[in-house]
Amino acid sequence: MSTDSTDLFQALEREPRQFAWVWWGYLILYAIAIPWYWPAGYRGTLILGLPTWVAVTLAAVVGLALWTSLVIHRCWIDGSDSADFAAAARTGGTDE
Amino acid sequence: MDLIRQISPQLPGLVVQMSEGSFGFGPGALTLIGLYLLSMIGIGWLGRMRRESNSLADFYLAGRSMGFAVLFLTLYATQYSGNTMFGYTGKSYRIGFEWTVSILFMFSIIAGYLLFAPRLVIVARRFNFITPGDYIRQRFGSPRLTLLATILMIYALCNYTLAQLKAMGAAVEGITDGRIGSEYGIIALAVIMVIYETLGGMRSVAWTDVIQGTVLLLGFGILLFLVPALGGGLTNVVEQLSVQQPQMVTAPSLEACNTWISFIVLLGCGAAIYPQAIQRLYASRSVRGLKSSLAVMAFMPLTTTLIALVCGATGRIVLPGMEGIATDQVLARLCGLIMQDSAAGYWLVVVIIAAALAALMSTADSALLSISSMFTRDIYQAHLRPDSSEEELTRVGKICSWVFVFLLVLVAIGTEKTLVRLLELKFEVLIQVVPCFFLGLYWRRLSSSVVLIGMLVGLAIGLGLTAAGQPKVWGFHAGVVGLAFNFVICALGTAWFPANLEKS
Repeated sequence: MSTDSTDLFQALEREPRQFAWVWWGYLILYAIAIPWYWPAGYRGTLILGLPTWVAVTLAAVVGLALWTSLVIHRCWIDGSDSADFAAAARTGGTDE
Repeated sequence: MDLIRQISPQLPGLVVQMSEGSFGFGPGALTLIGLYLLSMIGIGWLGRMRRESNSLADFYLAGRSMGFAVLFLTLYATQYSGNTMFGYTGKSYRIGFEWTVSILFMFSIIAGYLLFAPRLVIVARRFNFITPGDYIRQRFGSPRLTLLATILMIYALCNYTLAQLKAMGAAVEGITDGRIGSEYGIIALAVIMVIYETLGGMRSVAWTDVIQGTVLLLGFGILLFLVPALGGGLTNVVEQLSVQQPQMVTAPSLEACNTWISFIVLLGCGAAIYPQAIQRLYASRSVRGLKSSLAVMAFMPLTTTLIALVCGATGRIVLPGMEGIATDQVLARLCGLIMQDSAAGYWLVVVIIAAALAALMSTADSALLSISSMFTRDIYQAHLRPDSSEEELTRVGKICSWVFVFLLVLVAIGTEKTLVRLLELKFEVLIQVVPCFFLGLYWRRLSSSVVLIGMLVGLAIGLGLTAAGQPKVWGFHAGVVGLAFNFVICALGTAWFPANLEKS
């Protein structure tokens, strides 16, 4: 950026990228969601009408969605979170 | 190529089924759908009435005024195209539960946002960005890089819009039982779309997306309620598949798992930087509203692509024997069965088809608006008329929408299939722009020349492999292989030839 990046992103109190545990969480959930660990030709018993491996993948997708929701709300903290940008633009005020 | 086709909204199933004329609607249903389509123009007019200024930010970003509900529904309607209903159902019919990957890769788009959105939103506000090109220009200061990235993004969006237009024509021909030809359907729906778009820009598009997104959600809800019952319930469907087609219910091979990973990268990176998606990040009224919208969007594959998967599996039992491209007509045929069942079924199918039209139009209008904004801002203003006023740019943007729609309609009506297949290479192309965002926002020493070289090498590898008949390498898409080289070049280039921060 043409202005100093440190100043530019000061309003960003937290961002997901800063937290290693966020990405470890994603790695584990993706590792569960991708069905690489089932034996060839495996179906398993039906869970809610779905093969076991599909049900496990779907459970992992639900986990990923919940994890993402948590990460968005806990690890993406912007100082201007509730600022109304449209109102700021109308009054000619600063954005942040 | 086959896998890329699956994530390209062609709706061949709709084309085939509807051109057979097996479920033409009666006058009542056609009137209802006609009124629904015309109401879009009314919403466009309302969007124009709510205009606050004749500026690019007001026209292309709705004055950065989108709150949670509008933002969520416009993201949803834009992200899920008609292909989600028909193409994904056909793919499930062909490969069975291996297509569970579609739920995972559609989720990954939201995870992809987390890699760049927090910072992009800040710089977008600070520098009043309108287009993705604004960010690239501001960050790298390179007209060449900005122009190349803009051309790649416009190319990808032309593909997107063209495919939706072709499917719209097929839909109109089908629901009128062939009384209105597909070419007239394309023209009529394209005209409706461009009218409401040029009336109110993003505000009109987002408000129509609210209606279209709601209809789309309703359509998928109806599908979940009606389709599995045709096969005697999901458990019965899976049990029968286990006997008749056991490979369709068993876990995929390790190489197929590589393709799952490749899909996650392709969509998680590529679809997250779709220009229309980035512009919705710019257009949010507050960061809080944007965060809430993305948090809910993370769950939407479970209400959308999962239902398409179940419908495809059910179709395999209810309508066996379909092969090749004809399998993409499975959902349309299932709708035909539901229609014959009862009057209530008939009207529910009317809603489902309205949902398909909504999905097509909401995706096409957003792509068209983004094309118009990028041409106006990143080509016309940046290279032809740097001193043009906001009023002039807004006017040029509207003219640009009409010109692009005219050209795309001509191509959609007259093109040969081979040309369409060339245009299907959108993700292989678009994904090479990813380092500009994913790395550019974090690596201060990443220079424009390094990014440009990485982009060109990535493109050459992605397109070269595809042209050489190697669309996948060890299960990974050619574009993803190209992106890997692109990232390596960016990393090595930043280490060996860092940008001069004082100069920048």
